[in-house]
Amino acid sequence: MTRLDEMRRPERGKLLPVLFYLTIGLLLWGMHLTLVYAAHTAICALAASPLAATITLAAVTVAIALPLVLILFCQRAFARLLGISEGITEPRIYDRISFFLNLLSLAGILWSGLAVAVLSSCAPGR
Amino acid sequence: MRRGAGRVVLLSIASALSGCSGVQSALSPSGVEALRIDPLFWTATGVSVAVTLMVVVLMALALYGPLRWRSWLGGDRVIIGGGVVLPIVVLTGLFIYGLFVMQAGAVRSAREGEATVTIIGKLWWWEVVYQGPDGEEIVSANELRLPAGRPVRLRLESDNVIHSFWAPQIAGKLDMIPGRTNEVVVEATAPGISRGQCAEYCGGAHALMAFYVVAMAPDEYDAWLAREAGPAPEPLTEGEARGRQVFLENGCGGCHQVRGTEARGRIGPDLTHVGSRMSLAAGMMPNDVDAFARWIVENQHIKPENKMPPFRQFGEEELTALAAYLDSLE
Amino acid sequence: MAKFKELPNKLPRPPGELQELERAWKIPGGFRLISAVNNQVIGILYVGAAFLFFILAGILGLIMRTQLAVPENDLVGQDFYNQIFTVHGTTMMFLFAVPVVEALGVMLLPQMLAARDLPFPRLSAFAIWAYIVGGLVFFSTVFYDLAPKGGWFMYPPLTLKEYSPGDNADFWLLGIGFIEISAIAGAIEIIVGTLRTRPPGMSLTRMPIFAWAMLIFAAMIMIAFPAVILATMLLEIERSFGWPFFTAERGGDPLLWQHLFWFFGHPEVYIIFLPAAGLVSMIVPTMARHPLVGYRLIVVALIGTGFFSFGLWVHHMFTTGIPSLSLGFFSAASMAVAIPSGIQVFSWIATIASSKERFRITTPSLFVLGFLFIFTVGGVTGVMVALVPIDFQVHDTYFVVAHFHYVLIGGMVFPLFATFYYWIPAFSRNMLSERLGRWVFWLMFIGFNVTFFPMHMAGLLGMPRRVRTYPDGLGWNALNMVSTVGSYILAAGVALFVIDLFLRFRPTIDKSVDDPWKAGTLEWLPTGAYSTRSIPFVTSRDPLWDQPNLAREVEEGRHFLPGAPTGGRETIVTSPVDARPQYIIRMPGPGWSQLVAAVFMAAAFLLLTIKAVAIALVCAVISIGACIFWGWKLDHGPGKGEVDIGAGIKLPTYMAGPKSHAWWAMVVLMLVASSLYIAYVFSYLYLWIVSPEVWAPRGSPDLPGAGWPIGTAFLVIAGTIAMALTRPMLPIPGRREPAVPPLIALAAGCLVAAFLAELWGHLSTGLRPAENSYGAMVYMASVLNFQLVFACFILAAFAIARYLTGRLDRERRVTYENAALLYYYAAAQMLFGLVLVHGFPRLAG
Repeated sequence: MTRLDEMRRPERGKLLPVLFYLTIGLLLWGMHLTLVYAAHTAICALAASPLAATITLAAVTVAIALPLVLILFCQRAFARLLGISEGITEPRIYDRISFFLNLLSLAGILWSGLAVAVLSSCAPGR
Repeated sequence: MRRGAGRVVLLSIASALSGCSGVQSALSPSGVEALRIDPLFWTATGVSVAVTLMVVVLMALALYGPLRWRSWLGGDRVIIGGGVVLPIVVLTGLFIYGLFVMQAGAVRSAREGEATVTIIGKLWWWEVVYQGPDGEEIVSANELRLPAGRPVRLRLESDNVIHSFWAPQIAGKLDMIPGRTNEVVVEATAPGISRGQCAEYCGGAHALMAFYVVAMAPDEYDAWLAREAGPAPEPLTEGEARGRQVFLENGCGGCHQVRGTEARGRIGPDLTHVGSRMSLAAGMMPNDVDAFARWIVENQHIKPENKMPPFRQFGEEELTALAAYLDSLE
Repeated sequence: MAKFKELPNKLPRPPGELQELERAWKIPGGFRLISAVNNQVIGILYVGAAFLFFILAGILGLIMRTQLAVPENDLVGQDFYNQIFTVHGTTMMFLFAVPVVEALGVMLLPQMLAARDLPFPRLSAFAIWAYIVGGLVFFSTVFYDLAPKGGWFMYPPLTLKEYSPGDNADFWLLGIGFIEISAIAGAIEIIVGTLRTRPPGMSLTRMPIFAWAMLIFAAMIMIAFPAVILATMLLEIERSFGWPFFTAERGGDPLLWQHLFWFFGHPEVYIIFLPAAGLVSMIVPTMARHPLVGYRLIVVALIGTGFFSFGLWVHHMFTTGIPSLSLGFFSAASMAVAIPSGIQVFSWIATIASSKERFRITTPSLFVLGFLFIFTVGGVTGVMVALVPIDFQVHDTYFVVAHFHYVLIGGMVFPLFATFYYWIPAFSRNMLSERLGRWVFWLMFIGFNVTFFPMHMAGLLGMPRRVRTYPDGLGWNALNMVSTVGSYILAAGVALFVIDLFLRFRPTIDKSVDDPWKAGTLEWLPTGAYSTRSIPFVTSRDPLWDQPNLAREVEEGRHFLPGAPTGGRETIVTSPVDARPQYIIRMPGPGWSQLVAAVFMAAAFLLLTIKAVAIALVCAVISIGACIFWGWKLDHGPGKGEVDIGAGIKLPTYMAGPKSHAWWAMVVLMLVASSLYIAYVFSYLYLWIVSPEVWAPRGSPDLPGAGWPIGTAFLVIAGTIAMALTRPMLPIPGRREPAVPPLIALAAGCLVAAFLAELWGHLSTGLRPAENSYGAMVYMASVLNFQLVFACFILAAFAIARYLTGRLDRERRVTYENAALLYYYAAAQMLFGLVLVHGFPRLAG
């Protein structure tokens, strides 16, 4: 319950950290998609080495999935790092939204990783 | 009957097929790739039906179910179970299945060494160039012949706008994009006839850009290819000879090629063996004398905006002779 | 005024306060109504115009269905058919679907947030008039054979001059490009409005779901639309001047268009769907008389969809032959986007189930339930087409036509009709007829399924899309006939709705039906032209349910800002996360400048289409003049001091710096500009990957010497320093500082000089834009810079004029800040461009 008194004090929360906290997983997912798509295209076009492509893509997937897993498990610490504290209204709601978004992002990243595992790199779209 | 018996057989098969709905159906696969996609399609359809039914039943329960059931439905756990866990499990399964089907296709298309056919999308017809046994080019149009049971590499190109080559019974579609060559390996599993059509909107007469796929027994195919490589047959009757004269005198050779004559145009379809094809005008008309005559005069009505002008100047006699000549080019 | 530190304020309201409020917000009468800017007025106009386009494009759909009823039909000619299917798709997407949800945002958001209006009322009015004029002219091309016929996706090479001579395609490129600009203007408005004009106490965690949806909608427009704006610019430039972006022989690639178009085009689907889902999330709790179950999960779904939808664009390109692993990535993302939709469907089911009594079956609920079914079917077929091998078969067939009509009509039109039946009481003297409403629903529901379900089968039996006709004997005849019959049933439902509208809809601002559904959110508070009498203090998500006396208190003026203390239009600006009051924004009232600007801007674009360049330029100048006149009246300055808004809170009536709404809007605009530029950088690198052989130094003249970019960079940095130095030089109010105008002029001059130097450097090497795609891309960077340099130049001149007339000083500095922010962005973009254009070929070559 917000009290009227609080309306007289300046805001403690900042928009950018809140948005960052909510969307960290999605940002990592977007970074992952951009990196694997660009790396695969570039390596196949320039180096034509399927093996190099596959190794790079697997490495990128691991390098992005691990921090996300870490954030999933140490969520409160991450929130404190961003200054999202008891000072803002209903902080637990942000926690929960962030948690599920991170979970969905992880699924997205792992699915891309599955594609790397099953499909050959640099093969034509058939 | 000197007109090839093969054509009569083909025509009768075609007419039988035109009564049957499956000739362009993705649900009646007769090629290796289409057969591989088919079970994936039915699996996904099954899952889709199940999910839809589940949602409908839950909706009905939420609306009219007993209070106990409704209060069980009205919580976060149902949302997490049904909206997060269930989709992740089901989609992972479908996705992996899809990846394996894709990988099989990609591996197959990466293989080298099969006979090659280059198909070039035109406005609005298909140029089909077979690679002969010695690597020579055998130009044809608007029909793809395949040796059953033998993989064939299709090279898909365009020198104008984007088209998409789709013979649903044989394989999924693949686009023809200017500046690129897309390749796919197809294999018909048994002799038979099916139909395909341009699937990417290519302006004007996009709807009227079809073709037939004729899968033949491999030895028949080899014999056919050898015939196809040869020049056009000489006219046998006076009418046909007159037709050839009309053809050559009226500049038809500016756009069309009839190998064995001085007609060397490559703008329109190659007509060397046009009489042996299953259809005229890229799958639009039956292949007979009347159709030739109609096409020459009324082609802008039959396929509006196509690049061939209507030839209205011919008298009755000239037109008949010309049609007869073209029909004789087997 | 006596101080009362609690809310509701128990003291009697001063006499004349309400009259003052009414006077400030008075809606102009008679023909002057077109100068109005109140969100309710222009909102109704906006929704009405969008609905008109729905009817018009729907009629085109009926013509198409009639043509396809029987095989080998000759009712509609080939060329006309190609025009109408293009216009049907284009109109439905660009002139109906996006505008109508944006319109609902303009109309409903301020009411849901109990704001008196959106923060930039004239900007909304501008966007709406530009859209109406541009849209009507665009649609009318179908009547005189000038309509585009390249499909709504306009793939080159088909849409290049060679294959599409005539002005038809230009109407699409310039007309739709222009309307996208209007959509972006609306998006800026919605972002700032949602984040900054919420009522005190409505933290992000208490925002109505529709506000969340609109916030994400607007953010998505901000990222997605610039990609298609860049694409239309490239295509129009190639058509007009032959710069080969899409021509393969000269190093271009037709697939570049597809990447850019679908980077916009796929999010577009969710841009349309999310607000509709937001509306459903508002209606379901009301009909269940129970708060939304899974509010947080729905926010998860909305945000997740917003992001994932940008990772799917290649799934429109599964059959273009790009590498299979790339397809795999985008197939994975297409799977990921299915989950948020699942979350929402289950949240709605859970909310329905939670109803203490039974879920009320009203016309809006019927449309919501119909939506749930249809959208589920569209969703599962969406998963099917996301599986690459299945897409190989069904792509570009009627299966896909069925799929996306299930998603779009089911996902957006059904919620829209629910919305009409649900919210019209808030804007009309009467509710719509519940009896007719049932008929409308059942006709539409049955008609819809009869029309579109058979299309799944037709597609699987091999029927491709966008065909004017089809031969007999392929097994498609019966399916097509059924579809056509269904389309007439669907149309009958829509027609019945229009009749209902004529019979019962009587627009009004202050005599609307009071809260007929007993809903919980603020748009059901009693309203006048000023929105609510006072702005409530919000402590929960469903304030009207949790604070039973709220409506009466608000109407008696016992909450915040019960009057018009500055004597004009104003609303409270609150902080973005927890909505604590920060200042009072003073907003403009009715006016003509935004109308003139919109009409002449539309005229300029449309005249360019028919190559009437001289008149087009005149119109553009008039439009810019009107904008300057409009801007001149803003930035009031702090003259009115602080005002008391109630509960002992005093707020300033002017704000400059990072807290001000102008600053926020400029930041959003910069994000739009950077999206455009990122799309350009992608295009540059993409064409290099495709055709490295035309790149300098191998395939094109050597780059200009290193002195050129270094000199240009020096100019840009010098200008930036001049601009930054101006800030501390601004005089305190009433004083003069003669150095200000020359400094601003110097900054502007440096930018212009830098732009010219870059251009001259490339021209001097002999590089020409029409030669190959490399040259085209190099000069395209300058085209994009030109837009910014031009805007900065105007803003700088404007700031100087404000200074010279005594309207710019240390306090009253928003004009300067806007110019400076855009300037810094322009400088950053130009510097980055120098690195890319001069550095990349040296590195890669």
